[in-house]
Amino acid sequence: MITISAKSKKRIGRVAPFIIKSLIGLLFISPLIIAVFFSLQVEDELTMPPLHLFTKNPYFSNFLEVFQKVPFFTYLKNSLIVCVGAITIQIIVASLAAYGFVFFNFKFKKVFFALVVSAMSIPGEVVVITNYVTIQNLGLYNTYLGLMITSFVGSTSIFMMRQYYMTLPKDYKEAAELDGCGNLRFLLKIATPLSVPTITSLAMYLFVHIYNAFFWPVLVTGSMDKRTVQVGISFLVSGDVVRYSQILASAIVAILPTVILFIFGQDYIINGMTKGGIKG
Amino acid sequence: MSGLALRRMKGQNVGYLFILPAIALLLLFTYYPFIRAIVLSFALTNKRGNFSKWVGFANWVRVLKKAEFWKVVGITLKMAAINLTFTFSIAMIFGLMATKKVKFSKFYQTLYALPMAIATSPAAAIFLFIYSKHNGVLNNLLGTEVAWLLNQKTALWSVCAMTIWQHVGSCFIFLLVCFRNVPDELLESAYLDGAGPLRRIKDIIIPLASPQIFFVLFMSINSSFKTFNQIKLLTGGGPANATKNLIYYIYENAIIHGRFETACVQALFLFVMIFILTRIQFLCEKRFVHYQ
Amino acid sequence: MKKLLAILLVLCCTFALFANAATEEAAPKASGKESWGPAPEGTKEVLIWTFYGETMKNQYQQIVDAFNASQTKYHVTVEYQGGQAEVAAKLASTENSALPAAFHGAVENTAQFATSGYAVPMQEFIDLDEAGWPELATTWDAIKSAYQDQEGKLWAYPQGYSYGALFYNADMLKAAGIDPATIKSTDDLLAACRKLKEGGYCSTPIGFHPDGFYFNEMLAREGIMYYDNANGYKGDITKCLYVSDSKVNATVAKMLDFYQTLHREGLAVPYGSNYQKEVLPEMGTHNCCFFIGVVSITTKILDVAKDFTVGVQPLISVTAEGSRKGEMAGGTGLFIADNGDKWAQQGAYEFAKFASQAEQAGYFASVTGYLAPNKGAYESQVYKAFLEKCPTFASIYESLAQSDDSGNNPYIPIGTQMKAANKLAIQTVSSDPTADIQAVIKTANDTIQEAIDLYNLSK
Repeated sequence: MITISAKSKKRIGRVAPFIIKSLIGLLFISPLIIAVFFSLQVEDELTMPPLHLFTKNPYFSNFLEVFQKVPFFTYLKNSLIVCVGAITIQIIVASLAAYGFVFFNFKFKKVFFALVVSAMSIPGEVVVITNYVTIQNLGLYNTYLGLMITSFVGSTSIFMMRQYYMTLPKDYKEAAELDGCGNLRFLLKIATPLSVPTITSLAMYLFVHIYNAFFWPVLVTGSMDKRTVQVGISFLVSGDVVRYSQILASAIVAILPTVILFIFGQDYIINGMTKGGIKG
Repeated sequence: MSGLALRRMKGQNVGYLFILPAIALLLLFTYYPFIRAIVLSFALTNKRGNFSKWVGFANWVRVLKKAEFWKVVGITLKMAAINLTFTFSIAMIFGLMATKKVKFSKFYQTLYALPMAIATSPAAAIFLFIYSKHNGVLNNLLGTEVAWLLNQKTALWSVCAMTIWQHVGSCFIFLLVCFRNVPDELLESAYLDGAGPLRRIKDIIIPLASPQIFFVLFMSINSSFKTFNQIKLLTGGGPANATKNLIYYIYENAIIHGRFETACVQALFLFVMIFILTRIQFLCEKRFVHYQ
Repeated sequence: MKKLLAILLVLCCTFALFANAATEEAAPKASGKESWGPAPEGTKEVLIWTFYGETMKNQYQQIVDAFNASQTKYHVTVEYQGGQAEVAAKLASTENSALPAAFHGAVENTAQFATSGYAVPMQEFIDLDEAGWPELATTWDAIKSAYQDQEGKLWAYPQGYSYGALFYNADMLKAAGIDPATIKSTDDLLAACRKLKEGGYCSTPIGFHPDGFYFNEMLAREGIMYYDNANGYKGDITKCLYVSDSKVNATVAKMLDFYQTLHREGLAVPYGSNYQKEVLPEMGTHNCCFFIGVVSITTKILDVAKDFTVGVQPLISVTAEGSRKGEMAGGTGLFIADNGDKWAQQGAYEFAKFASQAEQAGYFASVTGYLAPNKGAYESQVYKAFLEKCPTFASIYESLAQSDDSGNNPYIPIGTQMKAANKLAIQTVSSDPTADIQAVIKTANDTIQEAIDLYNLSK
């Protein structure tokens, strides 16, 4: 008969949930794990049934080829420029608007806010072509600004920032006014620092969307030196490429920057959000 | 009017300045094209998507009379319902599972959220490999030979599975954060009162987090109607239109077929549909959401 | 003062109007290169938009490099702009002055490009070309006529010339005692598939390149016109004949029944499977014997055929009575874009000429599997070597030499809708063994008819 001491019982009670939760997590990201394993195999191993997760001779050339075939770091640089630029400006624009909506009473405020919220329901596919024509008229074709400009404003971010500012006690603002603190100063010195958690979660949400964009970058850029990761990778795996191993390797390369960013950034985001507490 | 009131008025009007950049950009890049789309839905367009001639409501009649259109609307609703239900439930479960901070809880917390960091085109490349009929991962595991993306019965679910997989992460993080913000004292006193974990979730965590849950739902409804890249990369709307939702239909008409006016009608229809649904949701908010 | 200004303004406007009219009148008179403005000094940049992915673009780049090295007047650059749909959408919504000098387009969309307002006919440059273009004279008629409009003007030159074919595992057919030469219609092919499966030679005898193109191609091989006005060559198309013409209807129904039966009896790799990732590997592992595809897929088939001989022959017709004389061209052509920069356009034209030369076109055909577009390319050393790998290819060229114009693509700018509707029809019957074929035909007919009507209305 096996006796379990109270102490080890307690330990099992602590460890077992952890193991179960981790296993569920690993199962959840299994598509990624699978992709990593198979990207290290040669094509014949992938086409000849059955598949084996482990290979005796991992084949790293699949990855080398990706870097040889396309200027991946140029794409990555462009993606980062676009993401950082667009997210920064979108958040500034959204903070200003949300501040206006929350702390001021002006005519047609409700109408303007309805405009912002309704914009969320407008399908992007129908505005994209007209926007492309606008970009050409503004002379922004094949520029970073052209890539970013339609992401300078986002209804979701205005909505989210407004939801947050609404939870700020009104007397903060009144007290600040009595102290002779101007609007911009209040926004910059008080409201923004308080909303850092909301801003970080917003930035994360926006990053995923903007990094993911495909059709818009194809339209507004004309040459490889302005292309983003998504477009560059589609060039690599489009149409005439047959090899799965190559496709999987390209996918892993495209995934890697965001995954690394996420693993290191997420702690900061979640802690920030928890401390400040986002208010819906 | 006293000087103070005057200053107030002037002060209030400063609000216009704050919303100006956002409104100007929205007008230029969302409302101008959208109003153009509304206008064009009453006209015929030429090969370059420009105005050709007025036709009144003919486009509307033509689009709304088509059986294919209503099939697409049905699929849009079905897809959105599946995506919303599963994304939200899985995110809730993960969120509740990870609420309690313990040593190394960061590990599984990262795993639950990770797929959100993966862009759709590489994700699609991986899922194509998994769903492949010839020596695909799923068929290898199950010992079957199903063409997951080509079977009318499985294609929709296969596309949804990938969409859900990608969307769970952001919902999870938002929910996790608001669950963690539920004060510990409340939970502890409930525990001392003998409330089990399910009761604590039902009676304390969910009511207290309801505003945030509402916000997550609001965002999810919007995004669940807009599944596009997954369809484009996995099935192209097939087999036999089994995975074609309105967004893909709009893309097909506007971009592939160059029938811009048809796309405009469909886009307006989608707009109204989402608009009504979010209104209903706002009404529900007033009823069910608990504000502190 | 205000009045004076108003009068001045009106005067200016009228003058501007007349001035405008005057130039408009003058424009057609000026022909030839005199109207192009001064010839550029130094090297002229020539930009081409492509949808070729990485592999093919690299192969294409070799021709571009050779051209750039061969002269100094022009410098060609090729830029990837997304898939076919994205390139077309981008062309349609880009201002003329921002267009490239040339772009790649599918031959079946010639009518679409010709009526789009963003392309100019290549004929314009051919007519002004004093040096002549010898390769054009030896280009197969079937492909040349596919790039022509109703008036016979040439709009593009094929960069890759493709058309539908039936590929097979020759060794497997031999073992099963089937003579590929006897497979001429859907009935023959169905019988062969059944025999292969019953004999246990393979599990899914046939696979497809899933494209609406083959729907039209089989009708073309049948030798029937499925749109009024002789498929648009004797006037504009106004009507789709899938339902109203009994012969067309019966032929389409028989073709769809062929697809439905194949799938119902489990004889086919499901229609819609990605041919590179799903179908060809099945061929490679002897699970599949036949493949309906375009000849540009040849090299990929040869790649998977490690231990058997690949055979190929022109595509079948629907019924045994089909004429099998028409050759429906597929593939990609180089179209000249209407960007207003005549010298850049001339550069694109010079490049098209260069790329058609025996050595260049022969090389490109041999690496991609496209057909050699003209005699010179066909007889080039590099292409000869390629043909040795697949001797039955000769049957394709034999067929080409005897072709007539009964198989041309329908001339109407609704190519994408037509193909989508046709593909949907095949997909529906393939994925649903109980689908009512006449209902499926009616859906396709209505979709196409709507597209025709809308196009004709918005012209």
